[in-house]
Amino acid sequence: METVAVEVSRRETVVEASRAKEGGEGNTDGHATEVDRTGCTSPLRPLSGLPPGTVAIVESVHGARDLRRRLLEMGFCNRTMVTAIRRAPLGDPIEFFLRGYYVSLRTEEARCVLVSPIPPVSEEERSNPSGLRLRK
Amino acid sequence: MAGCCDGCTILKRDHAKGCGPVPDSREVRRFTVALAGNPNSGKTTLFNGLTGLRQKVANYPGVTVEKKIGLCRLPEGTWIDVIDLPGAYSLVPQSPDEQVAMEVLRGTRSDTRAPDAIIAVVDASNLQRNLYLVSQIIEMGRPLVVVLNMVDVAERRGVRVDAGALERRLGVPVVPVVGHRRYGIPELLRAIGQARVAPVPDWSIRMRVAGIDPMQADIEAHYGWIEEVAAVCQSTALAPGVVESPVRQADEARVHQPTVLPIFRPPTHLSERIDSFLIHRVWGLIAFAFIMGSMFAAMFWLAKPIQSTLSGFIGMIGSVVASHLPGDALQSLVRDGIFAGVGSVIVFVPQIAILFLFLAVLEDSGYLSRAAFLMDRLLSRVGLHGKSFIPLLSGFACAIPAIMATRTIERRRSRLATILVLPFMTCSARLPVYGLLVGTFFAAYGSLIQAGVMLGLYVLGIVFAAAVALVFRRTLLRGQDSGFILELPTYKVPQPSVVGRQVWSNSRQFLTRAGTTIFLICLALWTISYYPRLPQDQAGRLPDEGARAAAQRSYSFAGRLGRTIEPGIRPLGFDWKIGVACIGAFAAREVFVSTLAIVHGTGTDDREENLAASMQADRYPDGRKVWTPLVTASVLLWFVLAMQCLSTVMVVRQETGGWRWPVFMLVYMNALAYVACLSLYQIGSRVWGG
Repeated sequence: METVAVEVSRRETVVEASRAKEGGEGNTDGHATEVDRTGCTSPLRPLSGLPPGTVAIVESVHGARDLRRRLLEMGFCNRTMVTAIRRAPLGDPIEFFLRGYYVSLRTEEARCVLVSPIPPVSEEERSNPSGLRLRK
Repeated sequence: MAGCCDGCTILKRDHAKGCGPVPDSREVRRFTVALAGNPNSGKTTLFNGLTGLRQKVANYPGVTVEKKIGLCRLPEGTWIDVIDLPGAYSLVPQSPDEQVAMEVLRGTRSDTRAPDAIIAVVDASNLQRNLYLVSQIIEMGRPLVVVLNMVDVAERRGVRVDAGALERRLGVPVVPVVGHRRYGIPELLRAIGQARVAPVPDWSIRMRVAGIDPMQADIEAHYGWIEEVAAVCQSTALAPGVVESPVRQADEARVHQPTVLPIFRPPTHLSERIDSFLIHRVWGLIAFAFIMGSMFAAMFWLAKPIQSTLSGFIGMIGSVVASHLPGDALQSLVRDGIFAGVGSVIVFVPQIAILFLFLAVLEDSGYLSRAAFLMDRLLSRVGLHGKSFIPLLSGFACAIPAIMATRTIERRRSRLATILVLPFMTCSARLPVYGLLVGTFFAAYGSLIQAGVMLGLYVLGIVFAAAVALVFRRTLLRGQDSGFILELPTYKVPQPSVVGRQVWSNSRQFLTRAGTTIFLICLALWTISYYPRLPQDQAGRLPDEGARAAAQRSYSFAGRLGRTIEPGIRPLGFDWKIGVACIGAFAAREVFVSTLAIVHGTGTDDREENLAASMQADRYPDGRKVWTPLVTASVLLWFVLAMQCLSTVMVVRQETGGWRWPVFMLVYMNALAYVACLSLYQIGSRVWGG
């Protein structure tokens, strides 16, 4: 039962965040400061706003049913880690890395995935190219 | 299906060893396995490795998904059927490919028997996402063998997958394979005999816990199981020992699994280094332009000499054969009907082969999805897909191979929209028509203006294609098509066997399916332009051969049809000669020029200047010029917009699996062309006074 409660509260935050996004966001997607500018204090931001090279954790997926299903099925679930790689030369779509493979999403689709960014990696981690941290 | 027994599509010569004697072979029921897996999991290479040359490619009825069935011999000597299913990410289908894969696996397709066992092909270098489909297949409770493909690629990427551990975890045979080296194939053949039903993991408990949204809970439960499986059998060579993620530590709501985690930072292997060049914002576009340029150049210039040699050769045989036949009608039937018909089918094959050679190499190497990635922005604005680019580009050479190339677009609506606008691309068959008209009526303006007009016609085609695509995607083909979501697979060296089979099977499919109908249309067009014959006494009064040919053509059904429709095309500025030439152009657009030459009585010499002079001098009985600048513009616009090439219509039928879309295409394009030419001529003649 406790787990359910945790889930519910997490989802509510998400809904708030997405409402704030809808209200305050123009076509400024792709800028790192987007979520902050809307005045939302939640650390969640759309995947489309993740600067290339940064890592984030998938928190929730929204959007039309089929799109949402396919995003989940492609592995955007269970708090998985996603790295933004690059935007296509014409600005769209965006390439991501998750679960050991590369996938590209259009900006409007990446907007459906809400993530919480991971703080920048330390020197020790950067020296470890696999990106995995040894347990102490 | 061409086979003679239920579910059997094997060539007849294999029946002796395969199905036994042919009579009542319905009772013969071979063990059938289906190869299922994600796109890019190396399924096709494995299929080729298992079946060799004993395979047959057809289409699933009603859809344009390839049905590939092959024969494979097990070590003990029995033959089994192997079905290569189209690639699928999930059994909840979102594309025609996935729909077919799901239906065959579940045994709900009436045209394909449910497989006795399933071989699930898993890309070892991309274990987690590949295991998602496997987790769905496990739920079906069918005998299963898991193939761990591309273990070499995985090793190179620093990922080692323990097949033994995976086998113990899944409860079914797991065979590591390197498809293109045939490593592991004998073991796989042995394992097929031992296929077992995998125990279904109990994810219902987890689903209840997380159960707010059943769909999400279901997928997350599957992935939860996958993460556990991956943790047990996958190790990363770069970080030996027990590793765990900072995220996992924080995530207390979850069962703690102190094992290997999904790699979350992209590795820097060869594939990534290639990508940093090939999809770089500057170099990537230059490389793209170069690759597309060479593909187009090959289709346009390399195919040309082959085509002219082929059609010249066929024409020559036709003349030789005809010269030994009695009677004018029989000679003409053989020379201008049968051999010309065969020639007009064969002429497409070089371009089809060249385009599919490029396409197969690009697809098998992994570049095709990068090309889509680069171009998607451009095409998504008009509702098309990044993968529409190569077909549209090929359309500038010829719409027929281009429409076949739309098979690479998985999404149904995007694919249909691409097919429907493709004929607006200025194909090479329009060039002789443009060349004649622009060369004749813009001769006074110098070559720069002429080049500008030609360029304008190309641009006009592109503009119409974009506008029409946008309209269709907003109306008839509305809907998101569940998004772009495009995997960028690891680069690999294209397999000659995969490439060769692509080229061969596509050329063959064109010849056997669209080719036969194109041939029949050519015969029909020959008949209406040959019959009825001009009476001898009338022909005898004409001065020369050219005049006789012209009189004959206007006397024939085609000529009468041209006169009959004249009231209908007069508002466009066309006279009956243009009408007859347009009817001739239904065989192929460039036939417009030769038909016009025949009705102008200059058909017997090959000099285009004579035709040009005759056209410039052509007048109505009341003394008005036939070819005013406005009429020329109207005819050019007609050729930009109208759907004249019946061969294209036949290929659309082949590719969409029915008459609905080809008929729609014929009607909408010609209606659009008619309205456009009507507006141009009527408004133009009011403004400039004819």
